[in-house]
Amino acid sequence: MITHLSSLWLVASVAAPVLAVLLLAVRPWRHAVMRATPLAALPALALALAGPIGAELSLPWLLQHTLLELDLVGRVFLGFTSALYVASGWYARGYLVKDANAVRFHLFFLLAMTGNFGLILAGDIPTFYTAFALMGLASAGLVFHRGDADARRAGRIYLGLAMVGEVLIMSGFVFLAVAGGTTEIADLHRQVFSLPALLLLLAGFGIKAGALSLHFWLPLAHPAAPVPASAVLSGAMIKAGLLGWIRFLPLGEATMPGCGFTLISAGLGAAFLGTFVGVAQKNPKAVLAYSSISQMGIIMTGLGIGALRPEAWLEIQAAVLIYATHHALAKGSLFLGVGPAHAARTRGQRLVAGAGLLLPALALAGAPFTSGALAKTALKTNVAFLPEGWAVALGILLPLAAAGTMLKMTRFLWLAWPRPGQATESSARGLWLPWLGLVVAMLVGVWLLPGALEVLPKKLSAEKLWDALWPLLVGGALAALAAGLRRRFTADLDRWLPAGDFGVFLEKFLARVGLLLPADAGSHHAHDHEGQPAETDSRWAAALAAIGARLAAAESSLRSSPVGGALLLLLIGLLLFLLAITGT
Amino acid sequence: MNIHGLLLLGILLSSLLTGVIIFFLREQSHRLRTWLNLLGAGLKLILVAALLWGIYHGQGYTLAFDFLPGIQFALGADANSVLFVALSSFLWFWTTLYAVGYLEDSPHRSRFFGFFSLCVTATTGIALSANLVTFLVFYELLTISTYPLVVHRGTPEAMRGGKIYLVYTLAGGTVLLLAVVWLHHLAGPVMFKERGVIQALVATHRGELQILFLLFMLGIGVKAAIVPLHGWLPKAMVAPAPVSSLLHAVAVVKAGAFGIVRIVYDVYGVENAAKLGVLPPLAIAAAVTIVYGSTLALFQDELKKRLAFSTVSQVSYIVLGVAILGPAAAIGGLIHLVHQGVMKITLFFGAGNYAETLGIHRVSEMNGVGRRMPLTTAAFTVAALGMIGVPPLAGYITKWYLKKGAITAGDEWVAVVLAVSSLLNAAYFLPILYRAWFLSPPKTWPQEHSFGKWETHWMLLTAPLVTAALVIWAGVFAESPYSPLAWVKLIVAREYGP
Repeated sequence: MITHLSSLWLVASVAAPVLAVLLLAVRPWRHAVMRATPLAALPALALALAGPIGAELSLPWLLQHTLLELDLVGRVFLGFTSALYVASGWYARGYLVKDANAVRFHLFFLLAMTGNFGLILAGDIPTFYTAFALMGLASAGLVFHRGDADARRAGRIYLGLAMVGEVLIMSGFVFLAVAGGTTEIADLHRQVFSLPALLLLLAGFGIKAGALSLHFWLPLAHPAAPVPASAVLSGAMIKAGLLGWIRFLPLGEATMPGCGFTLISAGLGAAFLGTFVGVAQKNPKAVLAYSSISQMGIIMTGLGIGALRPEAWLEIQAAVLIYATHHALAKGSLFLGVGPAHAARTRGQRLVAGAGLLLPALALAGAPFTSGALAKTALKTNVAFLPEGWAVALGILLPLAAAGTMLKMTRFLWLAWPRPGQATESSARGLWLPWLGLVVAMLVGVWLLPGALEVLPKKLSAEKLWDALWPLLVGGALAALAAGLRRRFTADLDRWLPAGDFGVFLEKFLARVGLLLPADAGSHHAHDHEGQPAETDSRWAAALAAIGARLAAAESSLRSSPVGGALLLLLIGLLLFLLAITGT
Repeated sequence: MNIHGLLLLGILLSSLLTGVIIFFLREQSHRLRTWLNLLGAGLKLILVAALLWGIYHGQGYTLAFDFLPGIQFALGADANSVLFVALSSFLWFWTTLYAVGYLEDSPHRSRFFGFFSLCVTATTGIALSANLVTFLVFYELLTISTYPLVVHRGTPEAMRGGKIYLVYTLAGGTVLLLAVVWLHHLAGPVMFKERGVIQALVATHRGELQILFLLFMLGIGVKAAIVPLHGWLPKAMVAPAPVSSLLHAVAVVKAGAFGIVRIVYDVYGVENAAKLGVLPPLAIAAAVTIVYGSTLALFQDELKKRLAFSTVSQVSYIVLGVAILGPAAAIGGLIHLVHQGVMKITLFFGAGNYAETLGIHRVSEMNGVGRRMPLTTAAFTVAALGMIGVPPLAGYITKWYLKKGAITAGDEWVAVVLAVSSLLNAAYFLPILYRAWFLSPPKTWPQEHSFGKWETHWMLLTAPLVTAALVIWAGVFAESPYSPLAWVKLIVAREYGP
């Protein structure tokens, strides 16, 4: 009976958003379904909070033998993910109240939700991949949603990289399945792990997780999406890449020096690059996106430690889970807070909004007694597992990264702080509750995690307190310094360090050499209808048209019938000759 | 011959007789012609279902008589032929319905539907041929009966497309004829048989068999549109939409792909072909075709032309699967016979609907078309995503098995080709979907027809919705017993099994 109930629960978690999508198709019910969107994430939240570990359900007739299961890792991921979807779905009710395309937004939001829950509960490779791809495609719809030039550019780059990621991951999965002889995640024989699978999955999930050098879509896409979508993109979906690594890399089973080195150095690189470029941004959402890159970098460093020290993996995993939860809830809170803080009118509102921004920002920076301090302590204790050289280096670099986070958070607070007289006519009705609800979830959520309370005593000593505090002070001092120099140096910083950093330069370079395919290869034929903005940069179009013309010329010379016919006749003659000489 | 063999004759006659009668109908007898068409297609579907049931339960079907001294006209059905005949008769039914709606009030409908039926008869014959000579006869019949359909509109462009089609396919047919005669000399009458019929010759006639294989591939490769023999296909897209569906999904290109399957599996035998070393070159040709077709598709603004180059690319997935040794790749190749069919026919139905309802022929005219025709565009979207290989749609299943087969066989480069192809597919399909759903529609469409309550004529709407549902079904329930994949696994078990 209990097993029946728990498998029903598993199905309900994924089926609830699917059902909502189907109901959305019924025109008279649309409005009600949109209002009820946050409810679609409730079964998953309930499953995460109270579901039995080890619940599983096999559906052999579906996909390639679908298996759904709830394990410890899945439970933690499902917890913060569903909390974010509840809050964002609720927030969207107010945020999109005047949006003409609200139905489309909800469609993609619910599909992304389905995919996100599905990949967390998936017990087999094809189901994971299906859910992952669904989430990737649906979230592109969210990035495109606003439809202005920024959103279109961000959407194009996002969709392109998401497709590349999916193709890499699928190839990696097939390698994995062939090497492992099965598609069930729990049964993969990771001892025979294939190198191509490792590389493909590292890169493929790296795109989703915003790993260094594959990250540049992220500071474009996250700010371009509507706020509730940014919150789930930056809080929940980015973690799908992390989950992919935890699920499919042979962590805890094999020592992988190369993989560990890659993860640690890319992680630290991302942490510092995120700070460097992030503080130059003028859009508070772009600062947050860069902060996500930094934070994911720090989590990657944790995974890298796991790749070097398989025997300590379970402890490291606990730390990674704490960190992921903390970041998801804090980052989600900050994104949701941007709107209400901007629209705060009264003194009281400004006070609440300020507190609502300050708390998660301090948590991210790792101030004492916050979830961030817990997460950082949990991670730092694992540095001890590393060989001495590594341990020393990380012991210096991780606090510096924390100082960088403080710097970014100061920058963010500076940009987003509620000031009297700035409130526009846009109302923030219905945004406050979901936002503050998520802030509360952030304050308590992380302490519910397994192992969280065991870390606690370790950080209560005075020395540990100081450890947590000095990066903040350094970051704060740097911020103060920067504010003092602001007029002279920082006014134009974001021109030199634009959102999308090296992707922007890549984009320019590719466009110059004519290798970049614009969003629509066919659109340069000047058949666009009047009133439609031209979609491609004319330089791209010209370069592309040149390539197209060359190919078309080659193609038509191939195709013209005399040549084709003559070729074949020639062949036939040759054959007759061969027939004759072989004498059969 | 056995009494069950008459079923095969029935399957052939169900479309042949329909076609012949329709030729003699007056142009105005619209209702009678429509009923005849649907009756023939429905009857065929029922007979094929009976055949499927029989084959599944191990019943044998043969029908043979001498039509020249020493040369037999032989029909037969094995799991392989059932795959093709079931696909083509199923899609034919919906194409017929679609064509009736599409050609409403246009001239020469009796001629059109007459040849339409003959074309499907020939395709059925190709599927049910039990030996090479019979195969050849139907193969040529297909060439000839399709020509009037390609040039149906009679415009100069159509005539030119038709001429190019004829030159290519007749030349291919000639090469095929040569190959058949030569093999007849070497091996005597060649009946199709699982694991091939040339085992005895592999050691003694190695060189000749290699050249023969090349000839077969050149002859059949024209219809299968392998680069550089593909030139006719993008030109032939001047034909009306139902004919394009027929060319790309049901009959002509499929006949080519099926022919290659027959030659490799049932004439040579895949293990013999591997011993002769002829499979790697075939795999390379297929890979080149896949990438070349996708690349050119990127640059086509004309929707049907983009789809045509997409076909060039996709059909070679089948060839690629056949050319890689091992059951997984074989499954991937054979299943794509079905998957490519249902996906591509959906896309062409969609293209036809846009042209017929709104006068849209170009990708750049498709802005906001999703709002005006949501159902058609939904079907089109499903098929396009399937082509890219997005799970859980049909194309993903194909790619999964092809990649698995390639990696198992140690041909990792094939996985790279497939990955590149997926990205190219995404690059030429996703912008279309973006335009259709996200951009706002123009004030007026190029040439709009109103069809009352629905977004277009109900006959034009039903067909793509049914085939799109099949694209979803074939992927979501792939590993259930009621999927095309289950049948393909049966075939492969017979080819590779103990």
